[in-house]
Amino acid sequence: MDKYLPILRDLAFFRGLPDAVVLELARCMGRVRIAPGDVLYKTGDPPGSAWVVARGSVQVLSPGGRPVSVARAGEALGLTGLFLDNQRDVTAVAAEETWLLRIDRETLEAAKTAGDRLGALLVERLAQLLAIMLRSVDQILVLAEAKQRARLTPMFVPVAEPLRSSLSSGFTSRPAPSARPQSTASATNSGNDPSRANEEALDHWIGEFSERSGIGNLDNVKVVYSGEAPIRPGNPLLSGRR
Amino acid sequence: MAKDVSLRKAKVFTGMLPDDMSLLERIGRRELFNPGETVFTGKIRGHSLFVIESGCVEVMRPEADGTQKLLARLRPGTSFGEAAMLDGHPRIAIGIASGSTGCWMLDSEGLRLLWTESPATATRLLSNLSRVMAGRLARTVSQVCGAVDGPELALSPKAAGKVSRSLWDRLMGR
Repeated sequence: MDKYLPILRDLAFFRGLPDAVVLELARCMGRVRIAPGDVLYKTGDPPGSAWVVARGSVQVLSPGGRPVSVARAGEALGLTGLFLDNQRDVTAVAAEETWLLRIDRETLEAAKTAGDRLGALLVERLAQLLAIMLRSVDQILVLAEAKQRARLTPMFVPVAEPLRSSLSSGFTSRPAPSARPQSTASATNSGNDPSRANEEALDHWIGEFSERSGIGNLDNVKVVYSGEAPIRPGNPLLSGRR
Repeated sequence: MAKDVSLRKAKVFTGMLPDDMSLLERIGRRELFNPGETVFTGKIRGHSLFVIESGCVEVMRPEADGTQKLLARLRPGTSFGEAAMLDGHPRIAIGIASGSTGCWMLDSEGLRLLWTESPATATRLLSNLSRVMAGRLARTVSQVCGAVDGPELALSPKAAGKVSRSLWDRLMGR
């Protein structure tokens, strides 16, 4: 396992930990190698393990087979299946040769039962991954809805500036976008049409967000418009109580 | 006013032992908010986990036009701010006390202290928080998948009415 240390050290999951702890944690996890096109899990599969991508990338597909996101090194897959009894709602396919670290339910249970620092650390890192994923996916919905709004009603487009700040605050681990979307978009091919410029600005930022977050091609996201726009945790829309 | 609940009945404290609860009571803190008082913003108590014990918190999102949109009304027993406590990113939403509201709070420093004093309690709490977040994540992913696989633009007649009414209002300067 020692030979993998340089790779492991770079993963967000292990960041800031002493080498000995990185190795100890990694030993609790299984190692999996999948070839391009291999299916890690598919929609409808029973829950169970979660994975952290160590090297390579995995394409996540919707039940309809459309791309939803790409998990790259340091990102997690199948986390909900580790904590909940729901069937897998998406399909994960290796986009290239990919190495993953697997965390099984048994490992998680053992960590909880042990009640020691290593167990607490494993659970804490998993919780942090969940928090990051939750925020990313939540932001995607908000942004996609904003994009849809901009297309529907040009009068909504002043949302571009708050969007910029929400993007900047979304990922402090990565540099915030530096270019101003309004000017970038206006300087391209939008001519003198302000609504077109704003829509381009939104597209620009959403594209950049998508790129940064690895959450796939937003052009595939077709939002069911809600007049309420309340896509945040605790929102009735998310719990199906509309 | 919403009914008070015992802290230990909250979902995030499922399976906690009496000793765990004593420790959490000691490390966390309680605060009572007056009606209309700000419970949290991005800057104020922006990195804390909250569990509502009594009253109600209205979560609002600032809109581009300066207004605030009501996103949710959170009742006793509900927790929020799990992600903010764990990943350190500030919230965008604002929470306002609706009626006299009591909350139990734990910030990232408190979590660190809990971790030092009792890794077992921290593990149980983090595990519960993970389950709560996993539930939210599953619902959100399902929403994203619905959008990806759904029709290009599914506008209900009611929603379409709202869009055109909103556009009309703005055109008329209302």
